[in-house]
Amino acid sequence: MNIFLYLDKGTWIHHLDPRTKMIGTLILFLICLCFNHPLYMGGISLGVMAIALSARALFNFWRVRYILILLITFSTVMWPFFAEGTTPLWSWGSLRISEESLLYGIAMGLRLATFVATGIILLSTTRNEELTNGLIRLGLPYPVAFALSTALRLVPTFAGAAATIVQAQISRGLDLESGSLISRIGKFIPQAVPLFVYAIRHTNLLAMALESKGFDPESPRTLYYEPRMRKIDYLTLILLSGVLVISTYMRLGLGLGIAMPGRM
Amino acid sequence: MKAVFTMWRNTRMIILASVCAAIYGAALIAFKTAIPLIPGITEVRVANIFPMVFSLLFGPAGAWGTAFGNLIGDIFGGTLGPASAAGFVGNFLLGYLPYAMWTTFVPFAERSREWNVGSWRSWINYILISFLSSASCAVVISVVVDALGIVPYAVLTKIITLNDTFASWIGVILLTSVFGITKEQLGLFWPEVMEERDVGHPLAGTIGAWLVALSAVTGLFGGTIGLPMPTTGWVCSLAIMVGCLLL
Amino acid sequence: MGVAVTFEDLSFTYRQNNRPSLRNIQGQMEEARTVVLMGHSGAGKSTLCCTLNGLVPRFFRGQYEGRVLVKGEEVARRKVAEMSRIVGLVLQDFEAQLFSTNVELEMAFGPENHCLPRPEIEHRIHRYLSFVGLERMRQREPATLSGGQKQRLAIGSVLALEPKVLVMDEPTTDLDPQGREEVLSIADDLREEGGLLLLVDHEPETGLRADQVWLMRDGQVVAQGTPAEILVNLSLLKSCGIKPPPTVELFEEMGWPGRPLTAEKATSLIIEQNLARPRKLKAPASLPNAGGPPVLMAEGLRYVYPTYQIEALQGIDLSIREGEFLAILGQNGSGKTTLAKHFNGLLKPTSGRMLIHGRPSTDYSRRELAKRVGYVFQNPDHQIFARTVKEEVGFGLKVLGEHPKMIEKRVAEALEVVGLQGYEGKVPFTLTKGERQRVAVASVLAVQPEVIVLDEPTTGLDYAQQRNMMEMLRRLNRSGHTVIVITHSMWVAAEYGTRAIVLKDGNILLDGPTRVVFSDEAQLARASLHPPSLVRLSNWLGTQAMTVQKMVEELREIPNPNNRINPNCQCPTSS
Repeated sequence: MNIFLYLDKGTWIHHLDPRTKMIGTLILFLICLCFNHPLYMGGISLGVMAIALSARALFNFWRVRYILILLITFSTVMWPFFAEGTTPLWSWGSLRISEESLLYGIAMGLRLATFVATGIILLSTTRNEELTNGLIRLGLPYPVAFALSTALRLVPTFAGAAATIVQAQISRGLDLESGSLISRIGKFIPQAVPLFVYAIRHTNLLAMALESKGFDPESPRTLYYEPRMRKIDYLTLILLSGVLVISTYMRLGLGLGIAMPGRM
Repeated sequence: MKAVFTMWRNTRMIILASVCAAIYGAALIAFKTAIPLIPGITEVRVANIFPMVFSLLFGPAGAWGTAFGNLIGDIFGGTLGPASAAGFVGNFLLGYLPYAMWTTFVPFAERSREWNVGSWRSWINYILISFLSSASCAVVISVVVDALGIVPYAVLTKIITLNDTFASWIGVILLTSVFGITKEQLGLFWPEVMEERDVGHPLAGTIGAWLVALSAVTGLFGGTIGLPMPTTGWVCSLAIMVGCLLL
Repeated sequence: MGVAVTFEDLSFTYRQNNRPSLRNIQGQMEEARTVVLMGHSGAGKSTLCCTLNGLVPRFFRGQYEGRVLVKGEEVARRKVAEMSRIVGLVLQDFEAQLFSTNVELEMAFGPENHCLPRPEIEHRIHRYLSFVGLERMRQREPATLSGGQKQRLAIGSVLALEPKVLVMDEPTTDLDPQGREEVLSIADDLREEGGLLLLVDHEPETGLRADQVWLMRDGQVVAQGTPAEILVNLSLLKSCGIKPPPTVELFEEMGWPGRPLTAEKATSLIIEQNLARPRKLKAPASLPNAGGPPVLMAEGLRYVYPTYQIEALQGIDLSIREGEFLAILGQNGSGKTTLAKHFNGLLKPTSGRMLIHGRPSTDYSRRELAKRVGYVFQNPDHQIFARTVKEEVGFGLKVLGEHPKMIEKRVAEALEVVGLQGYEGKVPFTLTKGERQRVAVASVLAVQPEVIVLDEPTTGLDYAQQRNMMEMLRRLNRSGHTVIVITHSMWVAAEYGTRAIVLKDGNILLDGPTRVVFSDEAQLARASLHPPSLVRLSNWLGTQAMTVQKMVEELREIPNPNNRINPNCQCPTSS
């Protein structure tokens, strides 16, 4: 099973500099924060969907469909009870739902889905090594970036070990599918302990191999990957920043796209 | 606090941070044992039995490992977003506070950094600190997530605190099982991995610990006693950060 | 020719140990040589490797006496990172040596650490990636490579540092025969590069590739010399816990002249000296338990892995009878483990049926299956979790709901069978690999299943430990258990299995009494398997024997051919 979301499609978004994609993602997040009215928010969601389409990342949306649906429903159902509006719509005892809070809930559901969508576009078009390389070039110290990239490299290995551990314990009669809350938790220990010990036994070997390959956290080093910012990178960033400036102006200057005043 | 930065000079600590992150990430993917907590809404993230154990065994490497592990969980789960930044900070606290408060949270504090299964102090310390670090994590994550419009503060603080505290308490079985092998056989207990001079001393440990403790509890229950939320949450988050600097 | 490495009265004791791991090591290794280092586990081989690049005493602290000079540099005075410019180290565990998320970055990692300019890094990636034959995998993620490919990548990434001395610490232990061949052929190619290669390995066959063999025992180097000198000294090899070359053993037992190290040498010696006369292999006896009731039966068994959509088993028909000792052979990916996981219902057939005592495995509950078919996984660390051996071994019984008194009794019995009496209170994590392997077997035995399946039970053990493990399984088999062993070790299958099946690409290629399966060298070669040298000799001689002992008996039974052989007979020669 491939647990990474990267899709090797080679679209123009794949070819952008990782820094552009990361900064661009941040700008998109900020744009999402500008409006809390479902109509305006919906417009932004459509824009992000268009980007996803041109990045050919839709397959990954299918992969996370359950989380997406859960998040949207949860948010839409939850917010009306917690955010207070002025125009009452429905009430039952102390529970009240207003028109504003309902609209806000829908907008928040959309916003959440758009966050996830933006993140998925980044992960579908950027390899792990590009992510870490971009982070280093944006100023993250090398040992920290190294730790992140090594962790990404180890996850499939440990996940494989974890799957074997589950099978080994099932073979000994451990029944993971039934039992009360407490007994299920008890069953987690025979899985967690071997995973922990297996992984920790690796630590000294990894550190040995690391030093043997000349790694020294305090020495300077070169980077083999040298991504270049091209014209299209600058263009993308300018365009996104422009949208952000306009959105901010619409919200703060013109007072547009607000369903629930006083909330972001 | 010093060790959080100086650990990046030590190859074993760097690898430990990676390994912790990978265990946490792998457990998030592989162990899908769903234990419903509030049926239909949330379930116990069983992977959360690890952070407390990472912290007490590997110190700062456990803190970074938990933070990166959560980020990796977001990356694999496809839920990378602005909330991931809050998740990073919150989970960092989950891995940072236990070891930092272990020896400073007077009068419960232990004298040594070791987990001592035969000492009642270790147990009380463990139970209290797992709750406080979970609550701190919950407050910091929830203020941001609420502001972003993802989940309301009042709900999320309780869910995260409950889940993490509960999972950490189960983690004590794991800790007891693996403490010996980690320290004696593999020589990976963090005060022995790091150089003495890199570990440093807290600025004002006890004050920091109590500041964190009080802020976490206020942030969690402030709404119940009528404090304005989530504004109080922001104040508490700030106070928790200040407390961390003192530790 | 210059000296590459000098040991001057080197001793070392790890900080947490009382006993020294290295004692008064003396010796020199010359440039452009291959040196093979052998010894029992715990002899100090890995420690000696680590002294070459400074991991001992820089990374592993302890009491260090004497000196190690590499290319004239005193190692202990240098940082490990500095030594990496001269000495490269490859470890057994390939998973622990790869850090990057794709192949080319893994290759670039070392040169990046040495601060080399980009064009030079590019040049080295290209050169060494093609050297280890992974040029086409440049963008692949290491997790998606096979074991052999991962280990080749690990070697390549060390070569990219262009070390003068390359140390490989058991680089093939975790690999299947094909992966092993891949890695060893790289070692052969390296010889032409002109540096010093130090190779640690258990198998005497590897020693044949060396210019020099060093033997270690209990922290000391007990012998240094050419393979022809060292590998024929049977008592020395045995005292170091190394499997002696069986052809040498045979010649010594028979009192024949010459000490051939390979089957080919042995055959030509036999022909030259008229020592024995090859005959036609008699049709061997049928399976010893041919009449017994079948315990496990696969009918048209197919299995497709849902996440990969790969058909791992393509229609298996197989019947395993009570009391058999079955060896399952084949390369990684041939479907061995997938098949074995059907035996205890871990996997459910995509189509076809898996019958256990005539009932489909899908009709059994988890508990019933655990009681009937025990499964010991390859790595004991994948199951050990308890704080005491007793708790670990009793775990299966506990989840099956047995009475505590019963558990205690069964645990004691199981521990006795595996030879770990008195270990009840010990912490399983602190035991040696061989002992942990036994704990894992005991924890399956305690449930007293009729069938025991073991995945690679001898991997990572030294020769003495392998013998112990297999003798124990033979005792279990004789006491009535059906034993099924998945293995890459051909001699283990030859000496212990009564029946062998060979899998290739999800199909059964060969199935029959082990002797018959091992006589079909052509079919075995199709599965990239080669019988051990003694069996090849036995095939050629037409004897039934698959162990030295049996062969000696058999050769002595027939009238001594030495005097009667017809010099004009057409003796088949080995190609």
